[in-house]
Amino acid sequence: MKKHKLLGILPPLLALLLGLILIIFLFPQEFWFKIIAILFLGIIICVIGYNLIQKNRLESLREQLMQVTLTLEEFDIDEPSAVKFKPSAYPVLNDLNANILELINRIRENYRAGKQFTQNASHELQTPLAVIKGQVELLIQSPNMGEKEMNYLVGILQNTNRLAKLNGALILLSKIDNRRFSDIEKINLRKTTEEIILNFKDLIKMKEIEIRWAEKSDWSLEMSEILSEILIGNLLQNAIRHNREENGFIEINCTAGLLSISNPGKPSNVPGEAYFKRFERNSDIEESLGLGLSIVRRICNQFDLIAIYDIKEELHTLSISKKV
Amino acid sequence: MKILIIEDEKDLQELMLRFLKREGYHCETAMTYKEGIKKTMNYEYDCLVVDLNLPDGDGLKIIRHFREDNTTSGVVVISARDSVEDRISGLDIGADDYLTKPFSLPELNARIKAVVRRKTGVFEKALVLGDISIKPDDRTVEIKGEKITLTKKEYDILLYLARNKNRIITKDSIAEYLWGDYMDNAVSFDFIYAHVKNLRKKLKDKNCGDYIRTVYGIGYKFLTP
Repeated sequence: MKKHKLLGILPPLLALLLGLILIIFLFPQEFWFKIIAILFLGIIICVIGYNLIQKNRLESLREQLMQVTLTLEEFDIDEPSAVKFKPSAYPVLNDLNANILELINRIRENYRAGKQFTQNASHELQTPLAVIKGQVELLIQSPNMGEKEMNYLVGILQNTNRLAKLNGALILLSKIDNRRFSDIEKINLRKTTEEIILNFKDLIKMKEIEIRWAEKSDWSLEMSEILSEILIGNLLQNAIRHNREENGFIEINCTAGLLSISNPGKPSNVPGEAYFKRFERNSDIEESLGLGLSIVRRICNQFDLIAIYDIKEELHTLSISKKV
Repeated sequence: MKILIIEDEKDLQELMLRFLKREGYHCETAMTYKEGIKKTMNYEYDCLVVDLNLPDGDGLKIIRHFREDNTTSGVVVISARDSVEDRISGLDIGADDYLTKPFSLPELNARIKAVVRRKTGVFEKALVLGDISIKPDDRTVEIKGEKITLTKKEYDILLYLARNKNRIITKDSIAEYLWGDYMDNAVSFDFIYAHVKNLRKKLKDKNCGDYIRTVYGIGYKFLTP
């Protein structure tokens, strides 16, 4: 904007200047009039010169600010390389850069500490959990344990196991966030889905769930192999766990760019989006961890995929598609 | 049979010690990396149980040292690290099995037995308990000398219970042993119930003594005759 304004002022100023020069030198005038005219001329030249200089300075300031913005845009908190700004002739800009650098360092420090804390906390929890589990297991073996005491012990054991699973899920989430999975290769999600179904075949048979394929074509994409298995595993586990008690089925639709898995379940008033929130869970089902879908979404985000939960009456559908 | 437990967490170390001693193993312990290296260099062990995170060093290094002159001994890694890379590097370096904390003690016991059997061949002979004889090498079971056909899961449950005989084995522990993390408990308990029921029926049909006891609400126990 500034640039245009300056350019707008320049032509009239130049015209005025030309006019004055003509008046001063072509027409005979009084001495004092000439003095005033020359002074006036001087002022105009000064204004034009000042404007031109300012214009140049603003232009270079703008360029340098653009540089700062560009550097900030490229900033990646996970990238260890230091952010560098070119020294500038403007003290204000140097101050700004120094402040930004300080801010970045502080953010980095906090981020690193937070990351470290989550990792440490979940890892440190594993050993005490192992100790609790082992001690309860030993207690269960004691010969003079009554039925009531036994039931308490089993309760402790089951909850310890749940805690361990939850903790495991948190560790996984933090690993996904830290992009610790670098085993990127070409993955065919159709194949992965078939393999995971094979892993779950006991469970599927036990719950008498029918597997239906609406469409069964390849969808290949670049992705971490481990995470692709975790992703599909979570989707299928979800579809099995929340399936209808009788005449249950899972309908799978796999085409290039879209994979959806549907199962009949309880009709729900909760909007599909709410299912992704981390600790929201179906209170009817004790074993549900609620972290599963959160993991699904994190994995999707990392590979430019979108996960959508859709409920139409009884049919729950979770679909994954390419981000457009 | 001699086992060295290298674990810096005192409570956990004591638990494993107590559990494995009761199994009849001769156990020794080390709390640190240095102690672990020293003991593995000076004494002979049939099996090493190693925690990877030690205060003064990496358990993986102990395994590497140990492997240089012990190829027939077993190594079981226990670790809080659960990443696949850790698992793979552990197995690459020469560990025979990998357990992630928190594990269950009967499972550790079963894994040690399996590893030692595989490595040394010492325990190659069948597991004979009353009328039942289990041959882990070819995964067969005989009742009074007569072969019996079991499904994979039935066989696994029988072997797991037999290896932890006279102990109450919880349903959680069996589920973990059979399916790892793949199952949720509510469903797998029904599943285990069905498998055990079938297993007992098959054993009974062969006039085998009834050794498997249900411990109501908790799990099962294999009683030695």
